[in-house]
Amino acid sequence: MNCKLTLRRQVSRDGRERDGLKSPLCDLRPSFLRKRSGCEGHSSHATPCRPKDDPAKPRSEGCQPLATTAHCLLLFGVVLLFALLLPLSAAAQRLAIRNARLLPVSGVAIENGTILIENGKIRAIGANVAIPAGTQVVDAGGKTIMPGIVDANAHFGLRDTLNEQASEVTPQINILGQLAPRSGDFTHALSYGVTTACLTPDSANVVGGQCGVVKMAGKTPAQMLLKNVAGIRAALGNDTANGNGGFFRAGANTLGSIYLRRPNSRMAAVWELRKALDEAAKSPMLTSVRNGSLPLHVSAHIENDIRAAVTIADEFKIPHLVLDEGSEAYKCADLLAEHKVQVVLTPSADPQTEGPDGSSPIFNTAGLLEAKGVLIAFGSNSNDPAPLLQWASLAVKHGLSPEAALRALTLNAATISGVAERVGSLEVGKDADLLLLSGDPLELTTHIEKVFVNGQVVYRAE
Amino acid sequence: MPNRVLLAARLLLAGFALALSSSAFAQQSGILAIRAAKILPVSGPEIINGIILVRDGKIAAIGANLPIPDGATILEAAVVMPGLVEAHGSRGMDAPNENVPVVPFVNTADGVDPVNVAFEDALRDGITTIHVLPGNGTVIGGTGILVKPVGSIIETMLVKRPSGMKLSLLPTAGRNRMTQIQELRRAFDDFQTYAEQLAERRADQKKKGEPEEEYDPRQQAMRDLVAGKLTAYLYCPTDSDVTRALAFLDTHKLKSVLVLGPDCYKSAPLIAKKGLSVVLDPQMVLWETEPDTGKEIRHVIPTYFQRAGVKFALQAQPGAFGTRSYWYQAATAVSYGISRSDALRAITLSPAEILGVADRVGSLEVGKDANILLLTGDPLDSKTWVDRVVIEGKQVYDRKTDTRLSKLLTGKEAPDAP
Repeated sequence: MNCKLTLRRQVSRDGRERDGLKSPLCDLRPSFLRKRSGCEGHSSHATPCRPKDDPAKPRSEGCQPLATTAHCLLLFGVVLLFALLLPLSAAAQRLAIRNARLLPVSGVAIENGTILIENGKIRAIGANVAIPAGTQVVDAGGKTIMPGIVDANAHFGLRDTLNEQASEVTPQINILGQLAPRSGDFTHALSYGVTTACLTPDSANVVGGQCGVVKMAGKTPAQMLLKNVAGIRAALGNDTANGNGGFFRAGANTLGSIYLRRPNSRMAAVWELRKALDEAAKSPMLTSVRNGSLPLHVSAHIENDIRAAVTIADEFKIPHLVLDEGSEAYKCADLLAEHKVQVVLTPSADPQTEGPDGSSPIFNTAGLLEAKGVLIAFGSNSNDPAPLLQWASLAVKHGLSPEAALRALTLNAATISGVAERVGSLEVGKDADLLLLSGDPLELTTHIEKVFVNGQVVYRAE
Repeated sequence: MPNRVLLAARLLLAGFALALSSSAFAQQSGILAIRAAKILPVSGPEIINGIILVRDGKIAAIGANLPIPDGATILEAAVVMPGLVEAHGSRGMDAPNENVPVVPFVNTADGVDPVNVAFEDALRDGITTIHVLPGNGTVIGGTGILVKPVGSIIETMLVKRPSGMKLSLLPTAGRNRMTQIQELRRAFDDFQTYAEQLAERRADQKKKGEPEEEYDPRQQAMRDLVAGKLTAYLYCPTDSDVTRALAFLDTHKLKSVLVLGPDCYKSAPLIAKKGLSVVLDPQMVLWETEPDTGKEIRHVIPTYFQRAGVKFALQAQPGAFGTRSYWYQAATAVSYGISRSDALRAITLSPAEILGVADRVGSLEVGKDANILLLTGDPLDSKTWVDRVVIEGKQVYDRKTDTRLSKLLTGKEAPDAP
């Protein structure tokens, strides 16, 4: 037991070192090029020996070869040495926030609780937490702490066009190639309480490319990076059908291409997606989608397109389908529940006007999906960060339960983005990404006072 | 979407029928009594266990534990407050801008669609007084109207016509900032020339004993504007426009309200010195990058005007579900540090004062129009609903019979309205 614990700590420390120093600066090579180094995971952050990126699996499980007795003893020795040296060095940075209302999301609210942060990770959380000597202690004065929000479908902080024009099927490109780490968007996102975002390609291509997950703090791509490939983004709908019509039919989101090519219609968009998946053997990324090691995100608004996405996923037995936007998802909630489709809602449309793609958005899509047991998250789906917390607050007014709203904002979004082992809830061992709020997070009058990423204050409202 | 328009028309007609029937009911005794756990009059301190008595569409009495006359119709609510006032917008207009840059003679009453679903939304969101102005895409856009969202023809809706004139410094249609303000100056010079020549002709005609030439009706609105009988709603999209706007207003001595873009917060002290009131942009937060350090700085726009002592009204923005509402604007303003009372004032009494109708609407005071919202809870609580709306003493909205709201919440088409 003791041994296993130390082993896990060691591995995670190793993982951080790799991330900060050894991992190439935002290595955008697809996973098949990196396989030989012994790391088959899609995330550059994944520990070297984990077979697959499965958030449900604890880290140590993937590291069975390491867990020999010899290794165990060796590591135990090393850790013992560290433990002896620790009081002498000032290396361990500890912060305790006490007298806070803690909303861990993964569990029930803790009144008058304490959260202990060590070296950027949550070390302990609860009503009675022993605070080691030499810890910086902050009194929250009864204010609320919740995990940082995860935006599960974002386009901000990226440069230039988010649609590749070379082809209508581009699974080989990664959105993080467009990342602009110095963009002010990341500060704006922090002001909305968003600490992590799954960045996705836009929807003019049938298969737009790979999604990547970054944190909102850090000066270089490597510092921001959480997961290099978090999914493959596809799209069905008007953008897809109109975007590729050549120079003279430039869609709203594209410059237009000089090449006249498919798709120009919904049927061709569906046909392209089907063809791409049929020929998945040609693309390691689409192979990963078919075998379920990567989720397939499909952006769709109207019921027709949503049903088409589910049909295709069914045809190709794609295990992990994520519906992005889903303005009319409420019309086929049963279908989405039955196929275990996860939905990243973007309530960007005002029901007073017609929604995107001529859809009819309603107020309570989130609540209706919750009622059917569909896993939901929120995504800004915009070049600008969005007030996701306020959206969730309105979703609660319209019928979503408050617990489901907080979960959708954090843990669900982290799960969909494949980073739930690092962020999305206040749990021991997870990154200390959290929000200090003046009151109930789902009240519009509540104010985000401080935002922590990796245990550091990265945003403070004046 | 003809279907949607038909539906809207049906719903509004239904609402109108309901309004008529309920008013007929109320008129049996002539008195409507509204009893609330809490009354927020906006103009004064809140009243616990308060009662409002309404007679002939006006507030006859307001206070704690007032006796309710026999035979009065009684409505109950958790919280009661005045109907909201929309200070600026083009609600119900599908084409708010004329193509020609100078059109002072047009009026939005001729363009507004009374059965536009936006008026129905207004009731659901508790807006009882709406300023419908031309858009910002012209130079002199025309005059506006003040309406209440009641009935399906413009005549039943009108509160005031004309309400003010739209002037805009936003360069559109190929104009740049220089030509934009030049067009504006020229329009005023042209009117001046017209007025002087007319005066000469009329003096001449009088001397000759001939009938005097009438004022050209197309020039009437400009005449009122220049005489200070009509307020100019001058749109300044950026801060640089404010200085030019103030100089222009000085030259022509116009009565004016400034409608401001987000970065105009820089001119708040200047605007305060001129004693002008403003309508703020729906975007209440502006981020700016410090050029030297690259640091992002967050500006909360209303705080600058609050500090400078400028009277301001908030605007709601089109956007995600429910963010269009003034509740959302006021509550988020509070989260940004505006005081609760200032936020509520900025969507009720302040816009009423800015529009010059504070003698009739904007607060709950004896003698004012009985435009009253019956809420399920505190207005800034995000879960609060508008339960009923009373306009001029008549109940015009009931959440229980709001079929469209039911569709927006359940996703199911409601059975046809009767």
